[in-house]
Amino acid sequence: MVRLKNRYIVVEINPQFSNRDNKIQPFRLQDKVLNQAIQSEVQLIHGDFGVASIRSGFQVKYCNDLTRIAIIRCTHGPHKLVTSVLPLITNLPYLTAGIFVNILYTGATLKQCFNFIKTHQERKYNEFCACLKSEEEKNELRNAVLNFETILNKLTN
Amino acid sequence: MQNPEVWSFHEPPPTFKTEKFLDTQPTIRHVEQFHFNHLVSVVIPDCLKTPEQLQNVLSIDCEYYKVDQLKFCEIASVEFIENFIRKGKLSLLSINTRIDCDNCYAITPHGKLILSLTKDTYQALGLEGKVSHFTHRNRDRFIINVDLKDGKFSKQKLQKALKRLPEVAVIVSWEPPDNTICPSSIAKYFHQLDYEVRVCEPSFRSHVVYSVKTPILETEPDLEAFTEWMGMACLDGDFSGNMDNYVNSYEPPEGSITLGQVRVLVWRGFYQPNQVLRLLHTLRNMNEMWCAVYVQGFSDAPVIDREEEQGFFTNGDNGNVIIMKNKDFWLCKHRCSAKRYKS
Amino acid sequence: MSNYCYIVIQLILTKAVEVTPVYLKKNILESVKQLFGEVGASVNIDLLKFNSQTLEGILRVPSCHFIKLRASLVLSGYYEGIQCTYLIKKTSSLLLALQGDSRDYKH
Repeated sequence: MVRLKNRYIVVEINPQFSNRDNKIQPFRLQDKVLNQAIQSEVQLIHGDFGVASIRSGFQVKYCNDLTRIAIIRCTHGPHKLVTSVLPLITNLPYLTAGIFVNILYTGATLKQCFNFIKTHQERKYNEFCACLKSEEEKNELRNAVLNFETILNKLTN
Repeated sequence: MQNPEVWSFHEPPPTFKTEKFLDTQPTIRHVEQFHFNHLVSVVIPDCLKTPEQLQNVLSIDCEYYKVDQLKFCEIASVEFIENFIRKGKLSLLSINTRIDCDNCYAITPHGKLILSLTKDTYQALGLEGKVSHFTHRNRDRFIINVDLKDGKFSKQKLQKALKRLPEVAVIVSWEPPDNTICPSSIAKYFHQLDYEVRVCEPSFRSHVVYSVKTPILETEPDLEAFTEWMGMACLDGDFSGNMDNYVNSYEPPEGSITLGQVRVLVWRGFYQPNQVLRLLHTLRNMNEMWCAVYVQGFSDAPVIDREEEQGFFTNGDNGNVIIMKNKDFWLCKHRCSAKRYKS
Repeated sequence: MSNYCYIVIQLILTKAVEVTPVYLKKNILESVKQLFGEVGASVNIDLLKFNSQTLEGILRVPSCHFIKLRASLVLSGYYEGIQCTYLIKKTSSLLLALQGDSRDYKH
């Protein structure tokens, strides 16, 4: 049976340190902006052919500001073009400092990606918890980091 | 719908086989089997003036005849078979017909009649044939192979079937069995049957490439790089490039020495294998360095050598490169791919 | 198996203008870059011979990128702002085979 296969790429977008302040600037991650940035980079690296081959089925599925994690969906063959281009993205239009993109995981279904994000966040939470002492701060962090409501909504829709 | 390939696009590879011989016999055998030769080009390094003997080998006594609007049933007449196919060697090929679209006809010097026909023509004809290798799935093209030297087939049946074929222009060349008969007898035969026959002479041109790096053939040469260099010399290409050049980064193969001149001779016409063998014989002891000959066949001939079928997708190239140095012979066979395309 | 493919091309322009090998190569690379991006344009394309009167040239390209080059030549529309088209006369993987074609020869 022939079926349409997709690949869901889980990426983490980290801002670069700005040289003067040595501080990370907070930023909002919007899916439309990320979509535009990836497509223009594909146009540069792979040309018209690249943009045309990823266009159908290319969508930024999930975007989280706090954890800076995004899920990008693309069809099975052209996903190679997208993954080759992701490390080369250096800035988003409205940011002054640059960003760099880490590819964390590539899954075939959204459910696999969700499981990966859950384990990834729990690991990170445990790392942060080592520095924090009070129970309150821990709860706050837990709510922020392990908030899966938005992604669960996406999954059930 | 499955996703189409976006990453790698490979052309079907043509075959380029190289063999080394220490003797002339295998080379002669391979050249004899290459029935229809169109273009012959010779590259001789370090040769200032072309010896006339060499120029005449493929220019004199190499005429062939073009018959317009030939009714193909004349081939099956008893007179024709007795006088021209049973005696001597006849080569016949249809021209202005394309192997992938139209019907093509040929008679090899071994006396085999080969018809490569479209489906409609084959079904109207009524002779037995088999499906072409290239259209195995959709059965669009058929090959009929008749051995004219064999006495067993029925000439009347063949003649009746061939009457249904449309008229076609052909080129024909006949080598008589002995020196007493003139090769133009075939032209006279067609003329007597009221066909328009024209004599065609092969064309010849020659040029010299000056001050160029020429490869020396050692014991294990890189033949692909050598044939590429040969092509550059024959086409009078730009040798001034190097690795860093923007326009042309072609460099002659490693170990090349600069020579004053390299002579290139090109003949175009319709040659039988014997004539090519005569050229090879003349060239054998000519030069101290090496001599190379490239023989190209017709892109629209139904068969290449022996019974191998010819196809045409993006190109219908087939040819042999023969390189001679002292006692060593190298033979490279270049054939286009035999891949079947879905259509 | 040979590594390279060779193409004989002819450039046809709507307005007669001087064409140099450097600008022709630049135009070909631009067409490839437009269609296949930086990755496509990083291929080693050589212009082995160019005749500035008839605007005919011979290109050499590695076999794995032959189809990409051919597609870009077909879709190339402009040469320095003038409308143009590339006519592909013959292709082969043996350079010697480009000397002549039996289909074009008049007996």
